[in-house]
Amino acid sequence: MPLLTLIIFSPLVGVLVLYLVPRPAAWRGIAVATGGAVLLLSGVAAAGFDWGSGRLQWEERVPWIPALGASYHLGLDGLSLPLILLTALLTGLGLVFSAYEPQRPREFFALLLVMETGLLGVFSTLDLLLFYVFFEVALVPMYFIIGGWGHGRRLAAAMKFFLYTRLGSLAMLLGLLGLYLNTTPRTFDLPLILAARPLPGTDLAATLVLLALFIGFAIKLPIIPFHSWLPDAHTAAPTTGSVILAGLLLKLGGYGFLRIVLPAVPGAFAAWAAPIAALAVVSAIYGSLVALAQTDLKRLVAWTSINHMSYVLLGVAVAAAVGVPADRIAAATGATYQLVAHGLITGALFFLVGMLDTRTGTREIGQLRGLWGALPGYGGLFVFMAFASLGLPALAGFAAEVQIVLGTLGMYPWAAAGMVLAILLTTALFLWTIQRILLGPSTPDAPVLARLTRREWITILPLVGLVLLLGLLPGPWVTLIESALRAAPLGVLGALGTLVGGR
Amino acid sequence: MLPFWLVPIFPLLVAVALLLGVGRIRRGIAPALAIAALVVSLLLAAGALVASSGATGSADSIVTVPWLTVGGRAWALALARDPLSALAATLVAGVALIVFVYAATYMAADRERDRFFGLLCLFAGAMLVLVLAADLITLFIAWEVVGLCSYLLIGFWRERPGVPAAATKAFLTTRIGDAIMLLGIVGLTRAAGTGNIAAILAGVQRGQPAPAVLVPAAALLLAGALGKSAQVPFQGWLPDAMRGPTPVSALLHSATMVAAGVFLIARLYPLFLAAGPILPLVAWIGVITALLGGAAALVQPDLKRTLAYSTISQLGFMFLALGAGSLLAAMFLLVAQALYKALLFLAAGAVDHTVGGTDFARMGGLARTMPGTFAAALVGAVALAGLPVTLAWPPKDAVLAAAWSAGGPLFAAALLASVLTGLYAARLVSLVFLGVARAAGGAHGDAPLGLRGPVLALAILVPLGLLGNAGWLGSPLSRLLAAPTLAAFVPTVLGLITAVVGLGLGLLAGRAWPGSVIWPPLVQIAPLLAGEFGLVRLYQVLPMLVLAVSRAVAAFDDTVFNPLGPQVAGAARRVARGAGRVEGAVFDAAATALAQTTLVAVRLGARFDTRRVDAGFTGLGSALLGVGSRVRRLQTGRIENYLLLLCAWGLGVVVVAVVIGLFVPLR
Repeated sequence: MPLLTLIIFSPLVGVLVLYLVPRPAAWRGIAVATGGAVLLLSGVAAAGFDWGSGRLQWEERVPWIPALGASYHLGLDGLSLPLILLTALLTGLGLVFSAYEPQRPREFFALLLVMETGLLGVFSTLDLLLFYVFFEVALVPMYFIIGGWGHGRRLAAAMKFFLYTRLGSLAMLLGLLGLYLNTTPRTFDLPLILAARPLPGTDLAATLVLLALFIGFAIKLPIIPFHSWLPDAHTAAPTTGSVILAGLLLKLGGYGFLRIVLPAVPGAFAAWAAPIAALAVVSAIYGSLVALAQTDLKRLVAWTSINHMSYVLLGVAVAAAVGVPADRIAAATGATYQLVAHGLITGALFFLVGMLDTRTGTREIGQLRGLWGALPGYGGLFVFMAFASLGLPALAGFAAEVQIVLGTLGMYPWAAAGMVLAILLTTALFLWTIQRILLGPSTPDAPVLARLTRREWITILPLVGLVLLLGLLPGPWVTLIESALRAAPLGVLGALGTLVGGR
Repeated sequence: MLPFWLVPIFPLLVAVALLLGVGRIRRGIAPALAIAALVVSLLLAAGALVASSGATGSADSIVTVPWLTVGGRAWALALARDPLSALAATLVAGVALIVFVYAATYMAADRERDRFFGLLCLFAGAMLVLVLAADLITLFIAWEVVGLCSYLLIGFWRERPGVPAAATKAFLTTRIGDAIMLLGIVGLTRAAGTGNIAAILAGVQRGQPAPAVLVPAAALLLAGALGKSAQVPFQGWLPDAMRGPTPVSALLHSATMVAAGVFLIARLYPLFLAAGPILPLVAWIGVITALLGGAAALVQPDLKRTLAYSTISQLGFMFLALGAGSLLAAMFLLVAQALYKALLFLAAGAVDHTVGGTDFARMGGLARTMPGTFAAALVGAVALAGLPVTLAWPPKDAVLAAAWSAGGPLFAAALLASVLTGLYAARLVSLVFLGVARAAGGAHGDAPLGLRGPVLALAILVPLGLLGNAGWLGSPLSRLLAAPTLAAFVPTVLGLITAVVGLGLGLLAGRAWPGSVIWPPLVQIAPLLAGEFGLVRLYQVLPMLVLAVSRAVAAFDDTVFNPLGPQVAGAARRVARGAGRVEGAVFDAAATALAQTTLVAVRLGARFDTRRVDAGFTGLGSALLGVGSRVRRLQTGRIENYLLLLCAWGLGVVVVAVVIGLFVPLR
């Protein structure tokens, strides 16, 4: 049964149904049902998955453009399965949250669902041409969501997002073509390319491919100095748009590094690992410092994304460096774990900021005071997610960060120290935020704020549960990811294993 | 017999239940549930203490759940029962139980009492996990969760002035230590391949890891211990933490949580003994903190802040003992201090309850109206000063004996700190209970039984606890921990003399200057002492500095990266106009792919050998898309065209953007 095809394209079926049904009242039901169906199907894929094997599963392969060596090749492993589940979950929750979207709901739902198809496609395809196509499909709807449903200077922000994205895609495309042209026989099939080891060394071709792919994925993460689109896009985007943007679109960058760059150009990446790790550390500290200075709550959360995604790049850089295999595995596993953890935590934080915005009409920290007393449930949720974001143990973010530190400490002690400094700055900024908006007496003339609705609780509680689960019992997920990263030829060490003397 | 690892489970379950709102079922159920859970925990912990007291110092029972294994290195959620952990667990459960009973009355009228007990139970559970932890990551998780509880409990009365800032300061300061400590834990785990404490200590006995790893790791761990135990330079958070409810001050910020730093070093003591240069550092930080805390305690205008500085000072004595090589002295003082400081805090809460504040200005002469509380507090103060309140040498003598063996300067500093202890203990008693009342209409009687009872219970427990190392009982603590007692004549005599001198001078001063909160001779240097010799100022400046840097970086980001913004957006807007031209290329590629897909479908259909369907599909494919010829050309190998097309898709956008940007004026 072509389960992956079914998962990827069922959002498009939902879009089709949306446009076939003329009755507006039915649209939200269709959209939410589609999101639920995708989540259910992804759950089926996870339930039928052999977690320990590291093999590709649910694989599908149909010739597409044989002359180019491009095929419709799908498959899941321990690296992609968590991201498929994350995509299905966050999109589903986003649809629930936006179910009562007043402006052009049909178009809004359709764009979210098209984006979901693109994301699911990127995370499950093993063909680089198809990867590029899905990558584009995932990114374009966000431009319309920001431009059409955003706040403030939304058109400018959307344009900025669009242009950065185009530049990134172009760089990535050049890198992918570089891989294609250097593989004999020419093919876009990722497992075949990696098995052929086209660019193992540090020659010019490998370095150029690394550079192109690095720029492409670094823009998506984003890393300083490619980051300037992100705060604007988040500030302008509607709540669900921000959730998807931070929770899923940024993951395209991290996934690209882990899936393609690490195994495809191991030698060149190893040679550049130290400068890239340094860039990641600078980016992490820079991101948290700028976040500390923000006065708009949403912009603050957006800047913490730059900080948190920098840890991913640090993990990737350590995984690329020549060193103790156990360290590299820990760093790569931690980077993957961080993708999921950040998706859940920051997704939840953006939902929470959105809930606040709809009640108070402002996101200016200076105008929010003593909210915990006015909204007890909300206060508890915000504190929970803020502490998850600052890496409190027993919550998901810590499980990811501790693995990255474990991998980094032996290789680049200075980078581990820098990461700890960034974590401390994040701690400071969240504590200060809580102190300013939640604690203290509420303003005497503050309007009575409505308690959270059932729909809002439904949106946020699954994320709370998963953040706890992934923090308390990370073991099975780490085993899943590690087994995939160790498997040849797709895994990180699979490709590099021969260089460092096997696993 | 229930297994020992259930010790933390009951408080944790009650915590989850209460935080989820179970307390709403029936009024008054929250304290009852919490107290019941702690009774079970105490019984189990005491059982574990009895069971392990025959053992020879190593863990005789362990339970493990894998937490995270990556790259072959394993971290586990693991609890172990050994003499040290069982002793600490019994102490924690015992003090917590007494404080819970006290809090049931103290917080009876609070609107959010259920949340309070939920958080207290979470703390008790996490603290019990911390002391029973058999794996470094288990310890660290519990370590930070108790920090979270501390944060939430200090901030419990979040609407009161000063409370939010105190909570933030407490968590942030301790987390600096925690984050550094995590590096140490990770370093040790890398070296040993596991976070298991027993395995790591066994490695240390064999000389592994090498000093190049061991010494930095010990130094990093020390930072965590200093943060949690409010030692220099992390001491600033503890006095501010007194803005939390008094039961919290008694349980977290004097008896148990702040002692976690001492416990950590005790737990990993072989490692610190092997880490040569770290041990004297521990001793010196300890004695400096003891002096600083004692000096600052002399000039505080507030009862609870005085007790907080006293705690800082006492914890300094424990670090001194550890650094001077005596595990026994440190643990003895830890147990004793937990009891008498909890006693003093609960007495302070009773006073607060009666006079309506903790400011010394509201007190004076309370011995007459609160005789029971006075008697109990006197026991605590005498024990604090270091006089024997029972037939055993006070723990401070053991510390002084250790310092004596570590050398002259250390011992001299410790003696001075001992004098300060007597002085501030006497000052405290004078200002609160002796003399005449300074505020009109203050106390009208002793505190209610619900507050007095736990205070009196502790007043009985303090002398009993101090018997822990009595020689005529065969030094049970020494036998339990398999650590030798230190006995030396000179330090014991000097210790007693300094305690008597300190107490005597303090009482004389209290009589000479009745009613003056700061003794006249100290008025000149009071700001210096209260300001912790400039450290307070430093910690006010540091956050401002960080904030200034952050604003500078944000401004930098705005100037460097944002000018791109409007121009970029402008260019992009022009792109949108010319997008039609690009779309051609885009649709070309899309159409090709779609046509190819159709052809694949056709070929699949052909396999079924249904000619009509085949013909239909072919016709559809060509007719619909009209790109048949292009596809055939591709099929015949002109791949370069296709690649060029693909590139144009990406490149085209940028080129067109620039070109159109140059020629088309922006509206």
